[in-house]
Amino acid sequence: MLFPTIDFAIFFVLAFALAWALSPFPAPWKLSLLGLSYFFYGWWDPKFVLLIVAETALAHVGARLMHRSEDPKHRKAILIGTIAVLLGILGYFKYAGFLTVNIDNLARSLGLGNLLPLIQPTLPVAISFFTFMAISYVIDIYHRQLEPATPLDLAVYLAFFPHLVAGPIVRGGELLPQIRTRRDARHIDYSRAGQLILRGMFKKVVVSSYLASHIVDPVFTSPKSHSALDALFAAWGYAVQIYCDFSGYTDIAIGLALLLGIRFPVNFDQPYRAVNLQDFWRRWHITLSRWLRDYLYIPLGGNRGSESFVARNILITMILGGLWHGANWTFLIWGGLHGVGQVVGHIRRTRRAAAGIIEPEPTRWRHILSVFWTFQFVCLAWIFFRATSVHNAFAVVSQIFTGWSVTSTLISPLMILTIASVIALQQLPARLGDRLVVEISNTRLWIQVGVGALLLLAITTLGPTGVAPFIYYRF
Amino acid sequence: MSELPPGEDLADEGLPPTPEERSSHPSMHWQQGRRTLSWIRVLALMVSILAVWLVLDSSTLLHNAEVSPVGTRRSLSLALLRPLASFANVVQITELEKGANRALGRNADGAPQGHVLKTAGLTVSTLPKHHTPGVTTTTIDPLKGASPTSPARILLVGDSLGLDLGGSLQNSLASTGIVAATLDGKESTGLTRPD
Repeated sequence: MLFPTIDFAIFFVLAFALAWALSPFPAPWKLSLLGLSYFFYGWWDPKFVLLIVAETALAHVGARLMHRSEDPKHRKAILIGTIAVLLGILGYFKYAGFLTVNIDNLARSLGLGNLLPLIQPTLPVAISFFTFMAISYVIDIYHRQLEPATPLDLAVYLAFFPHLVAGPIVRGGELLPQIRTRRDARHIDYSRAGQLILRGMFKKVVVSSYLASHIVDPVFTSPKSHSALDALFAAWGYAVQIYCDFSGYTDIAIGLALLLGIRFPVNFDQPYRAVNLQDFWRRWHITLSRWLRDYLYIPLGGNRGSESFVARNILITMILGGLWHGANWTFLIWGGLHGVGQVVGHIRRTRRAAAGIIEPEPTRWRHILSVFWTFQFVCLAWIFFRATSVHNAFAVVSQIFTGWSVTSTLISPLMILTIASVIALQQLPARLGDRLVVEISNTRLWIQVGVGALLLLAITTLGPTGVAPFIYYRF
Repeated sequence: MSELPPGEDLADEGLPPTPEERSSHPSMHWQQGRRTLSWIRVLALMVSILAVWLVLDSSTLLHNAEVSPVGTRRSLSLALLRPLASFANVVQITELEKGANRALGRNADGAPQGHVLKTAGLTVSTLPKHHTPGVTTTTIDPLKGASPTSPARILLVGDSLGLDLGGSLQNSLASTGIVAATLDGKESTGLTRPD
């Protein structure tokens, strides 16, 4: 069940009514949220629900065993065992097919024939997200940053439907206290939620879909049929498409949770105004990058060590972060590019600091150039993220450099305006438009109904027929 | 990587209500200037918005329902949407949506009027947006005398499935160096309506 569909609208209205009607009664409220979340998840495939139940049970048992034990070695063994099983489940569904195909390809090239049977399990929707949340929960229990939750609370935490499909990756410490606390049914911040939902729908249904169908998909399907300018705009267009698609989904998720009285963390902070890659990863998919920082980069040693040691940690973190997105060499290359870029940036910063060089206050032009070049590098990496294969990615990249004799056929003024507008808006203050929301929320309710309906009509009219899945729901 | 700031909760930076606003609406409550409501009122608001939107967008939704697979869902959708679309047409509410579709170059039901992808180096064939019955097509031998400077021109037509297949075919033809293919497809033709 995708967010911007009538099916989901009907589901959510019923879910909203049921959840709030039961909110004075904690246990029934939690059970209703859990039932609704499992129903939502089972809409894709009822078998998927068994998977999330299994991971919930595993995380719960692991957390309880660790909490009861005082022996550090015993606790560590339980932690490692729990994480190994969780990652094993993720690895089987997500990477088994990729590994067997590549091992067999290598074996055939060595004349050994096919060594392994082809395994292509169906990838459960959102498995990467709730597996990472389960891992963060058990690690936080191990570090005694959290008290173990009841099975019901933990189940709601992992399955809560607004974040279930594509994040944000919420920490136990952020969501569990809210699940345990009674919400105020009299004061729902509906206008802020409405702003987020409508903004998210506009980004996803209108902007992202438009760019996908008019420039990105045609160029990536047949790069050689298009000009260098088309290929270049496809790269820029994809940067805007994936931002609008993913941040649009996140906006909707945060808005829906807010309507249910739950507050999610921010997941995007104007990523295309980043001045370097380090800054970019502070602004893009914030909940994933903090997960990688806290549960992978810092345990590996973080930035405490020699240059090569830190470079290793950065590369491992970014490559695994790339692979988390999918089982394809293109994701590995995407992560690797960001890793190399961050290593170069880190080495430059540390060497300049060691040499006593004080970084000058950035001038306006220096700032603009930093933003510009960071964006170009990010777009280059996005080509690999979007491409269906390494060959496809290099075909697009090479067309940018070699296709200048071909006439551009896909670019239109509206497309240029769309891409430029989204990027330009990110250079402006983040909360522009909040005053308008305040004004609208203070008008009469029938006016708000009209405004809401017209905005919804505008979105559905401007958008294409049908709704494409969110890009990140595949992960 | 660096020490990233922890994930932040939503930052509320809206403007607080003035004392006059508070006194004029004592039953209302605000969050950083934004009004808040009870869950029952929010529910009524959501249902009202969806209901109004349903009426405003009924003609497009009806078209989508008509081309959807046969089943209970389709039957229920049609049962709901036909009277709504009729009502909307009578009171001319749908003119708003139809006007927007016309401005966007779409049919009145929201389906695109044609999807032409031109290929480089090709003199674009002047296809009408609405194909007129009785238009004759010229058969040519596409590969006779084809060269990189004078490529053979091939027209790929179809519905949305044709668009999917045509993209890959276009790429393959382009790689020959002596063929320039034009893809002209139409999404949401309605030709596959199950009834």
